[in-house]
Order: sequence, then C-alpha cells, then structure tokens
Amino acid sequence: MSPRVKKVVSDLTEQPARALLVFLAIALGAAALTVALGARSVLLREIPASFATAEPPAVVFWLEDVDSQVLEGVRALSGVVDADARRVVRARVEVVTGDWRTLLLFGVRDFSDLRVSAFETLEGQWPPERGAVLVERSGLPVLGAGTGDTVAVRVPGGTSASLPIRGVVHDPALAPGWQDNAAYAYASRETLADLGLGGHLDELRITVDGDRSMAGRVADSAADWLAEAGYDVLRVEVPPRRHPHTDHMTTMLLLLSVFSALALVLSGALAASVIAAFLARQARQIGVMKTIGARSPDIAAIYLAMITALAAPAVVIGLGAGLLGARSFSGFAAQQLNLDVADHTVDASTLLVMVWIGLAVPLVAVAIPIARAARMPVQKALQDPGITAPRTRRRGLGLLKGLGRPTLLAVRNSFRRPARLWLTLFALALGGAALMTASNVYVSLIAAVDRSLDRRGDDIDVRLLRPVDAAAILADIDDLPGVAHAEAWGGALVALNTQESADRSSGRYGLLAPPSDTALLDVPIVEGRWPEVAQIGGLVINRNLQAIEPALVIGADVQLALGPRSLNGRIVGVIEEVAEPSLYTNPPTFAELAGADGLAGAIRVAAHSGAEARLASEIEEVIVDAGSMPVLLFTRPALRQAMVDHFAILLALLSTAALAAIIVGGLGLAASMGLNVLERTREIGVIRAVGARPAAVRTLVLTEGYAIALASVLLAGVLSVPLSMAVATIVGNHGLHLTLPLVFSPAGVLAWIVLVVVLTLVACIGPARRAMSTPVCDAIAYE
Amino acid sequence: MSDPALIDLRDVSKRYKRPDGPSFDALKGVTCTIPASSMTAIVGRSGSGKSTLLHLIAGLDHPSAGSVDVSGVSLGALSEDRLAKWRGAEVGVVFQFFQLLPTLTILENILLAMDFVGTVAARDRRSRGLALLDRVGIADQADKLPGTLSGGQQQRAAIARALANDPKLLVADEPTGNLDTDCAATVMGLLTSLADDGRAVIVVTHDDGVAARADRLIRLSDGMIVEDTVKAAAQ
Repeated sequence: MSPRVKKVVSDLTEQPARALLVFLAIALGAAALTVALGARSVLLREIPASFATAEPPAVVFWLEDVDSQVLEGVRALSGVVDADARRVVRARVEVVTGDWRTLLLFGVRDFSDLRVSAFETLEGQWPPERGAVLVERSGLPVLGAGTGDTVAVRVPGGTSASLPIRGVVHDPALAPGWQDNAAYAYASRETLADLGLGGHLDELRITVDGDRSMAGRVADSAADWLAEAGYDVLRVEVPPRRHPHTDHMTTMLLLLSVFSALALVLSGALAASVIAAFLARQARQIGVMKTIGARSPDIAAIYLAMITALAAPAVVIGLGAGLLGARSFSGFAAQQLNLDVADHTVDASTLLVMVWIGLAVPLVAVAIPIARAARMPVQKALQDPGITAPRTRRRGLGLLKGLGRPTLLAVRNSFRRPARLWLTLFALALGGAALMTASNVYVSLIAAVDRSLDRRGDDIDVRLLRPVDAAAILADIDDLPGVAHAEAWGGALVALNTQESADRSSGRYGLLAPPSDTALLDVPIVEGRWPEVAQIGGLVINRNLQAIEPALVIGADVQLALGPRSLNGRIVGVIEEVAEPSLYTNPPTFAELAGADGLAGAIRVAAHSGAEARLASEIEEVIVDAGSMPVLLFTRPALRQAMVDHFAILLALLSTAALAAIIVGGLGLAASMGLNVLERTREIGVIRAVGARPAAVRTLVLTEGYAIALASVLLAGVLSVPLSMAVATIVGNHGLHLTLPLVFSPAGVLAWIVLVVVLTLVACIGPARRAMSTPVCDAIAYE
Repeated sequence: MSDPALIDLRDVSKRYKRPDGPSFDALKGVTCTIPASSMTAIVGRSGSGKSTLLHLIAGLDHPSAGSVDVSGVSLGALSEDRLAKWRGAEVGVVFQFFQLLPTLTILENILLAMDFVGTVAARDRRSRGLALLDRVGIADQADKLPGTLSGGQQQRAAIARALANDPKLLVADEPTGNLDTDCAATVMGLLTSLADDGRAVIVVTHDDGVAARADRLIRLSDGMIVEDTVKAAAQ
C-alpha cells in the first residue's frame, strides 16, 4: 500500500466517529434524494400505466340507447380503437352503520368482453349472475361489506332492492371511494332492468388511437356518423386522458423533491463542516507534507480520495435505503389514487442521476474546505494553533452577564466557530421549520375546510337526482325536529359548452341557484360579481371548475344544457371554496334553464347541534317520498372528514420530508458538539484541573447544546413562516384551487421543542462522555 | 569557504502584522551568502529572527522585502506549487518536534516525500528509504509508527526523511531542542557528516554546544546580523 493510500486509510480509521458522521450525512442525503427521485420515477411511469390498464375512454357520447349497430358502426370509423356501451346510475346504498351513501352503479354490456373502461376481478365470482353485483375495492371501507354479503340499494324511481355482492374488482380509473364516501358496483343490464331502470345502456365509450386532439376529431366524425344513422346525441364529452388526481400527485412530488434537495444540500454542508474540522487538526501535517514537496493538488488529492472512500459506499447504502423508501412512498401514493404499482423498478437513467448527484453534492461541498486547506501557505500550516480563542468580545453576549459563569462559558463556547454554529443552527432549524410547516399547512387546510363550511352555514347538503317542488319539500323538511333553517335551491347537473368546445364535447357540472336571500351561502367573490337578482344568464364559477375549464374567465360566453333545454350564459364572477367544480346562478336563470319555476334540485339545512345524522336519514326519506332521491348527501362532519382524508397524502409527504430534515439536523448537532468538545479537549482538561467536577463538565457540554437548540427553535419559527406560506400557496393553488388561510399551529412548535430537547440530549451524551473520559494530563497535553 | 555561494540573501526583511497591534519586523535588511559543503549555525535570543531567517531560506515563507536566491533560483519568483516542488527536491527540513506523520510508519514517512517529488524512481524508493534509515541508525525501526519511537529516534527519522530526495540544502530548526544530550550528540554528528558530504546545513539553535560544531556562526539580534564568524578550520 502506498504511503498516500495508507494515509487515507489511517486518517479514516483514526477517528471512526467522525468518519461515521460524514458517512451517515452523505448516506442520508443520498437516501432523501433517492426517495424523491425514485418515487417520482416510479409514479410518473406507473400512474399513467396503471390508469391505462382501465382502457379509459377518449370520447363519451350519451344516447338514448347504445345498441350493437351503434357499436359496430363506430368501431369501423377511422381513428377508433374500440367502443363499448356502459351506463352509470346514481343510486344509494345502505352501509353497515345503517346510513345511506352514494352508490355509482355501473351497467355493463358484457362482463366477458370489456373493451373500454375495463376493470379486473380480485376475488369472487365473475361475472355476477343476474340480480347480483361486483363491488370496487376502494368502496369496501364505505360499505363495511364484502363478497358474500348483501346490501340494500335504492335506485332512481324509488325501487329498493337487496343485491348480493359476488366479488371485488379493481377499477384504476376511479378515484378512491373511501375518499369520496361513495361505493361503486357493477351489474349486468338485466340486473338494471330488474331494478326498474330499463335494460338500456346510454353511454357510448370510445377509445382512439392518438392524443386528445385526435379524440376531438374522432368525436366529430362519430357525431356525424350517429346523426346520419338517425341517433340523437344527447351530449358528448372528451375527458382528459389522465388520472383525476395527477395534478395533486405532481404537486406532491415537486414538494418532496424540494425538501429532499434541501436535505441533500444540508447533508453535504454537514459533511463539509466535519471535514473542515478534521482538516483544521491536520494543518500541521499538511504543512509537513508541503515542506517535503507536496503541491496543493497533491494535498487536495489525498483528502478528496479520503472523502470519496467514504462517499462511495455511503451513496450506495443511501441509494439502497432510499429505494426502499421510494417503494414504500410510491405504494402509499398509489393507494391514495386507487392505483397499483406493477413495477417498482427505478429506471437506469434516474439511478445514474441519483448516484451522480449523491456523490457530486458532498464532494463539491467538501472541496471548499479541502481547497482552502490545500492552499494554506506552508508556514501558516506549520504554525497553525488549531482552535483559537476569540480576540474580541462579542457584544451580544455581554447581555448574558446575569448568567452564571459556567453557563456563560458554555454559551460563549457556542460562538467560537461561527460558521459551524450557523450551519448547525440552520440544519437543526430547517428540521424544525419542516415539522412546523407540515403542522401549519395541515392545520391551514383544515381551517380552509372549516372556513368554507362556516361560510355555507349548512349542516346537511343534499343534491337531488330529479327536481321536486321546492315549497312542498321545504314544508316537509321544516316539520322535522332539529331543523333550524332549511332552504330549497335550484340545482341540477348541467352540460357546459364553451366557445372553445370545438370538439362538440361538454363537461357536466353541478349548477346551484340559491335564493336571493339565502342565509346558507356567504362566499366572497374573488373576481367579478354575483349576478343581479333578475339578470338571466349571469353565472359564477368556483376556482375548481376554472382549473378544469381554463377558458371560463370573466366575460366568457357559455351554453348550459339540461336535458333538451339549453341557455346561453356569461361568466360574471369567480369564487373560492372547498367544493367540487360548480356553477352558481340566480333562481330566474335556473327557472329559464329548467323550464319551470319553483323547482328544487338541492336542499341545504342548518340543524340543531347533534341532530345532523338523524336528520340526514329523515331528509333522505322525505326526498324519496317526494319522488326523487339524493345523488349526494353529506352531513357537515362527513363532508369535513372526506376533505381531511384527501389531505392524508400531503400530511404523509410533509412528515416524511420533515423527518429527513430532522435527522440531518440531529446529525449536524451531534457532529458539531463532538467537534466542539474534541477541539477543546485541552481547555476541558484545564477546567477539570482547576477543580471542575464531572457533573459540571457534563453540564457545560449540555448547556452549550441547549443554547444551540434554543436558538434553533427561534430560527425554526422564523423560517417556518415563509416556508409555510410557500407550501400553502403551492398546495392551495395546485391542489385545492383556493387561497389557504395560513394558520400557525402551536402543536407544531411544541412538538419541535419536545423533539429538539430529546435530540440535543442524545447528541450531547457522546461528547459529554468523551470530555470526561480523557485523563486530565492527556487532555492538557492534547494538540 | 572557497565553495561558491549556494544561498544568496540580499537586504531581506520580514514584517509580521499583529492582529491586535502594530506590525513587527522580524528581520531587517539581512544580507549574507552561504556556500555549499558547510554547516552554519544561526543563533540568537528568542524573537531575534532565527527561525524566520531559516524559513525564508527553506522557502517556507516569503520575505516582505529583498531577495532570497538558492542555487541560482530566486524563490520570490516561484508560485506556491513550484516552490513546493523545488523545496521537496532541493531542501530537507528538520523540525524541533520532528513532525513525522503519526499515522504512517517511519519508512512510509520517507517514501511519501519521494512520492511527492518523484525524482527517485518508484522501484528504487523503498531501498533508498531503508538505506537512509540505515545511515541514521534506525533501519530496524522502519515499520514502526513514530509514536512508538524515542525522541532521538524520531529526530533521526526526520533527518532521513529530509534526505529522501537528496537535497543540496538541509535546514534544521532547533534539531536537538527536544533531545537529551546523548541523542543530541548523535543527531549533530549526523548533520555534520551531511555537511561533509557536500551539503549546506543550516542549524538554528540556542545550544552553544551545537553552535560550536558549526563552521560558521551567524548571530541575530532584533532581526539583524550582529555577528558573522567563520571558524579558522573552515577557511
């Protein structure tokens, strides 16, 4: 072994704790990077892949009935890959608690020949016999039932039936039922007929060979063909060909990448700090090597080789741990999207990038102290005294005069290496800030939900399948005990066409028309205005709708269609609310569109406290008695819980990022305290020689650690403000499409204080022991 | 002293800036020449500028004014890297506290010096290192770490390392300052023999006994040469 290699090896083994710290810092940085990039690589590949297994339609037509002649004709059109018929029935299902929930009941043309909107069986009988259903796996927690159970179902028209569940399927195109408090079931057209729904299938679902513009062209040619063949097209839609939660996931992955990059940079800085301290102790050796002929590049090469010897295995270990983390995170994320990750492999180019960045960042970081050490003039290196006493008193520390001398000494010691102090503080504070940010953003999200619900003021929100007489149903509901205030709103699911809809497609969104004197809606307008009381055609949309239909800006002309009737309207205002994509208008506009006055399509009720659940059941019965049925029925607590469930992935992500930052911060503190004690071995020896007892020395070390920890709490608090604002803005803009009211969570601060107290104790135990274990005579002779 | 001058110092001054006060002149206009094949002792009280002068001659530091030429090379004209390479090849330095790298064996300390400079062929380095250790009388300690050796042995190892690249100039800063009398005598005997081999050996010392073994004595006081005596035998 050459002397240079021997020196590298012996320098590494001489101080194993320090080498281990550098190793851990680099491994952690690499792991954080790998989790982010690995999860990104897997999810961005697997989400579309898993979604694609569902063969989602590129074009959907609504007809009276999609018969075999339609299917054969459309399948023959240019650009069409395949076509199938489906029906979606909005029904109600009685769940295990006795409450009724939304059930999307899909009528399937042929279970053995699923050509579009495919789903796969997970267990049970395929296909279900007439009168039975299969259920989608993500709705099982809502149902509280499974294969072999029977559920009570209520369908439009008032028919109720008990349907046995014959099996469980997975439909990757559906958002998780548990998130929306809904269940999904699949039945044959004969079963639908038995339920009194008729055996027809009204959706023509088409897959095309090409992108969305191709889908638009196919929609045009199919519409022409259908018209020529004598079929009335009720509506056509060209849905986006991506998972409904793709935007959320992209935002989450961006956040994860940003936090991971921070952790990586911090770990590199931490490694640089430890190496800088190591090089400070090596100054005389560097001087000697220069004396005997080593040039700056020779010196730099020796220490870079030493770091590379540490960094290479650290990156490999970090990469392995990170890949496991990425697998775990992408599995969790996929579950949140009701998708399966078929292949957890991270592609080779991403792996190469990970290795390259994982190695480059720490090497670049340590190159700075190495270059500084290598360029040190030989004379200076030979005379380097190691850590030096401060030459001037720090003014700020004069304020601490009231403290006892040992405490003052400990606090002053913290400032002996200002660069190291700031790095330690920043690393620790970033961990705290990440934790506080996670807590702040989560609390802010909940606050946004609560604020939105408060502005509505209702406790029960019901959307009706068919409109009913408003005055009559309101009278019935007002009679129910526990009702504080009830309103019947105009409301329906309407087709929306914009001038941009050149492909003739339209989306369907909820249109609500609250009474002009409503007490159950007080949402401030963020752009434009509310429509005048008597103005026909004035529409207000929420940001969620605008995110889907960016053409809907103030002044945009649109066409609304409800059944055979249509109405031209104009966007006059935009609101922000936590709700599904919706439009609002005044009662005259809704009456014009519906062709009748005094109809209710939505009911909102303010209930006396504690009566919500009972009232919800009773209101459902009233609505059924009135000849309709709820399409959606949410009590305020259930709606709030559904929203909170949507945030679970964000909380998990922010917590993961905070954990990585906290570990880096803790390592930084441990490294800093270890170096501080090591460098002051002689001073500690002197303190002990003049009579300091072990407890006093231990207290000295701990006080120094806690001085840093206290400062980190303050700095974390300061850092968490812009960080929380930035994350809240990203989440608000891209996830919820509203401005989050930033709420600061005392729980986050408290959690960080508790955590940092424990971290500091753990970080100081080793250095304190070392300070005590070195014999006084050795400590005094220490260089 | 009929040999041509190996070292030529002209009006050399060195000024240090103190962090908390006025600057300090360690050397003030020193001019002298030192030939090869000689042993020169630089003496003086603490703070007189002895070590500073030695460091300037060895290229370990730069003068604030004046010029230092060694073997016709003006040290002030060399970059740090070229200076390091020159130093490795042309100068051997012996420190009071030996300054051997603690994690390398004695032999490896010598080999490292040869590795850096590269003037000795790689295949010859080990045998040369062992020969040097043999010359200083500690060949049997070659594979030991410095910490396991006595002070005298460490200083002999340091001298062997200083000779690794066969330099023309050997400088020693208080080479016996940390040794007992017997060890000091051995080390001085070695240094004297090296001067006899044709090298210029310059020793900074407080020890009159050491100074007495030199061919020439330069006494410094307050950064100036106040005495420059060449012994009769050396003339």
